[in-house]
Amino acid sequence: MQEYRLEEYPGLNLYIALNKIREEQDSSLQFDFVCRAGICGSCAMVINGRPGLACKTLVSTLSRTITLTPLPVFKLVGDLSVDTGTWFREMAERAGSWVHTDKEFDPEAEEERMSNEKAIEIFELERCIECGCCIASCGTANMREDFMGAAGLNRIARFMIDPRDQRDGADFFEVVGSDDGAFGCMGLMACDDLCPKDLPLQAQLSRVRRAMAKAAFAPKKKVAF
Amino acid sequence: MIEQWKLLKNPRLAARFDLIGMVTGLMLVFFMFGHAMMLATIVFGIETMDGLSMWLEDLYLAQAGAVAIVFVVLIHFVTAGRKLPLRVNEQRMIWRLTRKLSHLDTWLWLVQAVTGMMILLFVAVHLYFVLTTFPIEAVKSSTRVASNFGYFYAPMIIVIWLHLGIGLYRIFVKWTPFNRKILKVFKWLLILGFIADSLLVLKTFWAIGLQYVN
Ligand code: HEM
Ligand code: SF4
Ligand code: SF4
Ligand code: FES
Repeated sequence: MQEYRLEEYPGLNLYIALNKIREEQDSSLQFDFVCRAGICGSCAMVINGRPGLACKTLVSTLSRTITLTPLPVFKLVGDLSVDTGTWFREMAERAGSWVHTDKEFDPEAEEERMSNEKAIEIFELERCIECGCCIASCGTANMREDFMGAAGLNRIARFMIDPRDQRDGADFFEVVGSDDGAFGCMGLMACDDLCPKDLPLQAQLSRVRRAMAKAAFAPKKKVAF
Repeated sequence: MIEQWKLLKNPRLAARFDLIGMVTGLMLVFFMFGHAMMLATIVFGIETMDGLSMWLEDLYLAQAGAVAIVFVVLIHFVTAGRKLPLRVNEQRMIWRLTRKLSHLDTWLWLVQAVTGMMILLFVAVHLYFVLTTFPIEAVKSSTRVASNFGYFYAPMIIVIWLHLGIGLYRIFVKWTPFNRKILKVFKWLLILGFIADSLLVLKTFWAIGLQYVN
């Protein structure tokens, strides 16, 4: 563990503090940031034991000695920098993170309408910035490498409620009807408490769990390979 | 590419196990509520409790119930216990995370995992002594408590209600979008209420037992 000392001033956040350290004290210090406004999700790290966004965390809200460590679970790039990209890409592929439909796309046609409530509901879940805080704070994800985590199950929920996605319960069951998906979650709710974007994760985890329990008792579809 | 578990005969097993773990957990919750109420009859005197236990034994409900509960506990242990961190690596990861996270729900899950295993031991010892001294009689139970068995039951009471309360809370959290702040209040009321109730009942047994010991 390396130690740096820094003078605090009003409004100082961790993102600025880290940049000052890099400029003035240690040019080799590695950490990520892009937007510095809580939008891109790159600057997530473990702040005094709790995953959070450096750019959204004011130094004044923390203890005098601040301990920063990289997010667990993800591959370490160096110092505070981890590779969340590979994890989220794999998750998106597993989740089939696109609208599955056999309708032909007609670029000329008017877009299909969706009720405003539906659109808002989907948008609420789309706000996930893939920062990885929910994964890093999740006991299950820390113990079990293949667990899709709250971000993954939230993604599934997003497509479950999308009326354009034609996948049904059995299709989603193929993806998350296991201990790596819906049934892996043990309800520790660190994800829900720590998500910097305050996504309603408890509601999504339980939504997917209920749907998957229902699918487990639905009559079997013939699956052909 | 295809994930091979999907080719298994029954990929729905994880879902079934999860549900069985929950259902057996709920069965044990209701059993514990019933058990606590039956024990509480001691407050109304030795005769009330003996009357109840004799009635249950005449109908063979006590005997059948004991056997059934052993099975339910074992099934619960196998299905719910699947989530226990059994590998050293898992234990190290969850311990490292929990210690640093300062997040009560994560701590409480660990409490649940540990109390679950403790219950297994407590139940084994408890059943051994109750069943080898069958039938259940208030005086017998009281003297057992007063001859220092109370020191065994007091921690057992705390451990069981903790496990039960946390488990019930987590069922709601996992399956419903109910407000967790409210659920938490209910959880602590339930845990503390039943611990207090059970300890009072234990004290009653102890007091009665002391009259018969010596
Ligand atoms: C009086 C006896 C018991 C009662 C009332 C009880 C009750 C419960 C309840 C209600 C749950 C929540 C189920 C869920 O999350 O789906 C649970 C979970 C659990 N129980 Fe028990 N239980 C008892 C005995 C045991 C025993 C003997 C073990 C043995 C190790 C055990 C291990 C566990 C574990 C590890 C969990 C967590 C499962 C998870 O995280 O999904 N329990 N229990
Ligand atoms: S759900 Fe929240 S914590 Fe998880 S990756 Fe998305 S924004 Fe981050
Ligand atoms: S609620 Fe589920 S996904 Fe969220 S931290 Fe807990 S185990 Fe992980
Ligand atoms: S720098 Fe983009 S979220 Fe912090």
